[in-house]
Amino acid sequence: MYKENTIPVVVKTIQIETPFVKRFTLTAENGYILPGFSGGSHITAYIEGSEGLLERAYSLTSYGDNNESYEISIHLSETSRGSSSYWHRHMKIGDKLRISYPKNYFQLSYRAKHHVFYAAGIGITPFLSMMAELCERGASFELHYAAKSREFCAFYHLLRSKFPRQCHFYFSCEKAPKKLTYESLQHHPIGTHVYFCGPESFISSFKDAAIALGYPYSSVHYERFTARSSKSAAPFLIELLNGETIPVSKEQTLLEALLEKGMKVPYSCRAGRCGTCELKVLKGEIDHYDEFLSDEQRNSNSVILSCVSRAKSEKLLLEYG
Amino acid sequence: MKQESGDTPMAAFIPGKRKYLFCFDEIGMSLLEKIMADIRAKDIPFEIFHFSHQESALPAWLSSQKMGCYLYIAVSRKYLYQIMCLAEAAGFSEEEVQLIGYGDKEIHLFCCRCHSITELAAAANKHAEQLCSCCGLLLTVSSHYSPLRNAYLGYPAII
Repeated sequence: MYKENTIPVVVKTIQIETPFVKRFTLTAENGYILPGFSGGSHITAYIEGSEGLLERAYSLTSYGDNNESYEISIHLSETSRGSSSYWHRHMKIGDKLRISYPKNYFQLSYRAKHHVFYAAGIGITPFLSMMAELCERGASFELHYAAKSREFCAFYHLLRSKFPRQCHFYFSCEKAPKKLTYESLQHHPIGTHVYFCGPESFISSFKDAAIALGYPYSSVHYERFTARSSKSAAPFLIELLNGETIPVSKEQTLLEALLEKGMKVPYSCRAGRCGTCELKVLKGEIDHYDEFLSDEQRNSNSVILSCVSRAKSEKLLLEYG
Repeated sequence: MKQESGDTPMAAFIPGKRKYLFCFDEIGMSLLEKIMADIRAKDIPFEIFHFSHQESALPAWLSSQKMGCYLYIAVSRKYLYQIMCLAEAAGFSEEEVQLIGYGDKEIHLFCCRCHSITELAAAANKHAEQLCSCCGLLLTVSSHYSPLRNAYLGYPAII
């Protein structure tokens, strides 16, 4: 199986941010310094759970403070497939794990005159390092952050103390509820770039509202926690060049089916954003769910990102194997 | 920015914007008439800026605009680059601006040796070799246009 280079780390501290969010500090197991990273970066954490190796991407929430540790913050998901539950219920100070080198698919624009971040819930995490980087650069930015209440608003006090002028909070379940709406998108000055992070419905609706107002696509950025997926995924078959046929069940991704068969397929983000798992398709119709390929590439029906996309036809013939 | 090109300037309507901005001089206005009429007919908000060569109010007008606007600039080619730079400085990206120039088109040639710019008349043969006006190097005019220099890159004609 393909495996990326990893860094062995130790959990140094665990802090409770909110009733559902814990912040973990990780240091290199050998005491060495950790690689630097840019605002918006994340790492993939690999944990040996009871049901095998769990790998999940988490935004790095520290930035520039020191290069001896990384911080990640994890929300206990109601629909946890094991990872957030493991981090919250079993991870202890001193526990060892492996993490990837930092990667960034949510970079700050170097062209923007002004940056505006829209976060919902745990979607705040990538913005912490991005705002810290902009602060260091002396660049102009603002944050619009929606949460149920102050109690459930991760990093509320830190944000208020570090960026008091730039932060706008929206608490939907407090005595005087305030809702984050698209209205503010109308007021951003020319040269603004907007960034969205939160649940899928939040990202889609804000992205669509910005485009409907006339924002150019290149000024709209977003990061999804998980890949977009088909609501009615159907099983399909893949045929390889060596003639082998592999079934992909409706619960499985094409990448997972290949990895299960022991294929050394490269991959990285597993969210349809980085393009590492791109494969050539010789025959069959593709159902694209990635955020990486251009419209031209999609329409060509000749490449697929195996981590998220599926088949519309019963079978895909891959130029692989 | 959508670059103007050729001898017959044509403005293209880009739909889906909340407001349209028109910056033009006397002749430029006639090049935008059709689009402006369409936008009026559709009742889409728009703003006009009459450009009269030395216009100190232009940067403030450009900077006061909000996201979702689309800017048309229709002026003499003599002033086109200058206004394009002001729009860029205000924050407009190339996806938010369309340039429509008229009149003689000067060609700027960037010397690969001394980095100076030689201005060539519109009538000059782009395919002929040209002397750098600063260092005298004989240059061929490449098809490589640099938006940063507003010039075509010139390479040595004799190696």
